[in-house]
Amino acid sequence: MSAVTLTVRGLDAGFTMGGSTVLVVRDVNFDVRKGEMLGIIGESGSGKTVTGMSLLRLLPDNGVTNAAEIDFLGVDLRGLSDEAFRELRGRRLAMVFQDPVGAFNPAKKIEWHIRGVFDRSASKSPAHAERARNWRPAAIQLLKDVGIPQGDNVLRQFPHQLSGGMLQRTLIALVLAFEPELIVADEPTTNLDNIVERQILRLFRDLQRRLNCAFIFITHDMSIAHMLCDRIAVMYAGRIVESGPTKDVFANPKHPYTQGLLASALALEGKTDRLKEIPGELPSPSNLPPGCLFEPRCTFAKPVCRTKPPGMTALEGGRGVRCVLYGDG
Amino acid sequence: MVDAAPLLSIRNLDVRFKLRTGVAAALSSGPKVLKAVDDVSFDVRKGEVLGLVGESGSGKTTIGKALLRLYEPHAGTILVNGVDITHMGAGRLKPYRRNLQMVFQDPLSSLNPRHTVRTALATPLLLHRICANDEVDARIDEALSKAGLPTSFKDRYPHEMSGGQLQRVAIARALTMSPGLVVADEPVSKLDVSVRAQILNLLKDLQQKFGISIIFITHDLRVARYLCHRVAVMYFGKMVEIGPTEELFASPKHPYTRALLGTLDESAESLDGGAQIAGEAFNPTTDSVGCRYLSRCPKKVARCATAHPEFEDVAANHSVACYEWRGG
Repeated sequence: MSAVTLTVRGLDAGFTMGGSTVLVVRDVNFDVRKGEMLGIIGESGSGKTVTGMSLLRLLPDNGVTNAAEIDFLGVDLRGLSDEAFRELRGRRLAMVFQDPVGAFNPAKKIEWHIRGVFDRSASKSPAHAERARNWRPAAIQLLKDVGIPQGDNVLRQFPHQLSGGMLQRTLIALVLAFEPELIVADEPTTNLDNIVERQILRLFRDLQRRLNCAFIFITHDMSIAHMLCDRIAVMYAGRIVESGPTKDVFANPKHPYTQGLLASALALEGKTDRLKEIPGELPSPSNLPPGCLFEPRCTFAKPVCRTKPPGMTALEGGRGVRCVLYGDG
Repeated sequence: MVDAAPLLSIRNLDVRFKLRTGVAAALSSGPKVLKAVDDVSFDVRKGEVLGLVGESGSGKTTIGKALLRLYEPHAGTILVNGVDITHMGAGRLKPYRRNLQMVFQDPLSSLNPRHTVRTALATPLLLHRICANDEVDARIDEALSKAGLPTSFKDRYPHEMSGGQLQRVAIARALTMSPGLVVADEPVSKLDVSVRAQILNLLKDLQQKFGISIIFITHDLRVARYLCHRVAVMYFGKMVEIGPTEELFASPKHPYTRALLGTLDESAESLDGGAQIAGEAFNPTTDSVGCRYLSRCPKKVARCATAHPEFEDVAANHSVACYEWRGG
């Protein structure tokens, strides 16, 4: 097994509003290894985006992050000054967002963005310095690597002149040029059409293999996680409820929530007369049930589920589940 | 069950948007119109669910809005129960407006934030004089129950409800009109995954119970397969294939339909092998005489560049617009 790139223990994150703090992520624990793709799966409001943002210190000013441990290749990220963190982010940690438009400066051409990356990474090695000096051929090659053959043209264009798929490709090219050791991608294909989405997913996989970096892929789409990720962590209402190797979780989901999600997703794959539903809706983060967060919607709920939040139970094969059906952790 | 008589017939529908007007049009050398929907014809029978499938920009929403006369078509005819409503004035159109309802993608923006559910549902009832004033509340209760909501929701405002509940309200509002046809435009794409199945099942139940026809607009092929009797595939304003759902999924003829269905393969291996769609998509603002799919098509031949292919029958109710559909 390869070395652990990022270790997260006991991560809480949330927002302060009018004097009180609402936590939308509670007690999140996971590791990501070099060369591994970890999928964080959840619906809107499950805390998956806030988890990613808090790790990269991108929460807004009223954001709150607490953790027992956030270790990135031996560096304790909690103790870093904002300035030191900025140095790290973009050089060794990168984030890809859902909306590529927001990642570009609309008043600058694509070449300006790529040169910025080259300049920032020039100090890494003499080859990087050479790349920053003689940037044009390297930039065109970089765009070719992400499936943009007419790079010469694209360099001269402004972000608004490119389609969503082209922009997302260009953004991936920028990340590729940075050669980060950890990438966090948050729903990077949600705004794209099916066929373009497929192409971009392929690129992400190529990118990860090429850099052999640790990769956190945040998505609500079970099928994408299935295709891309080595391991997955399923979040519900701010907590990880199940985690393990993707194949095993899909073949044999343990948590009733994972089972419900997979049942309705799988039913849509073939021909079916009726979809299996998960009754009810997600709880509000300011009004969570006292016991298990999924209890109000769970068909297996017992009396104890209503009062005591279950801990994470470790199962064989590197799996974990937060449910009393498998012991109380 | 599906009745043979068409409730809705669309013939040669053509919807265009002006890209530049006034001085900008006079000064610019670029194209002045965008053909959002180009020569599209289809029928929807009574009690039938027709899926309009395509990527964003394919014209599927524009078709939905044009047939409700929310956009004025540039050419073509819209027949409802055999009556031409294409150019009908607002007064005569009113009963047809009642008969044709729409459920939008984003339920929060399709409800007035300052109106309670009661007001949102009562307004169309009173506007169309569906019932007497003292029966309005009973009608609203009935519609809410049909949509699976407690009647106490009458006094709620949109911000007090979740996405799934809002979409149920939007469906209830459409139901109060006892419509013959509902245009549902991506009604589940903004909902949470765990709530999506609830709304899809609700739509299926209501459709079967009341025999409503539905035009179901979606980019999600799986959802289309679950709900629709027939599926029409759109590509940049053109309908490229239409057929019974099972047949279309089992033996797609158009290269684009095949490519779309290819994205349903979710194995990790599917990202490695297989043909990628290469080439840039059609640019709808530049006029082109050939097939819209030309730039991406793996099967193109010389005549594809000369004219967009006409529809050909593949089997009963199954047609495709491609010169090369026979070849494997």
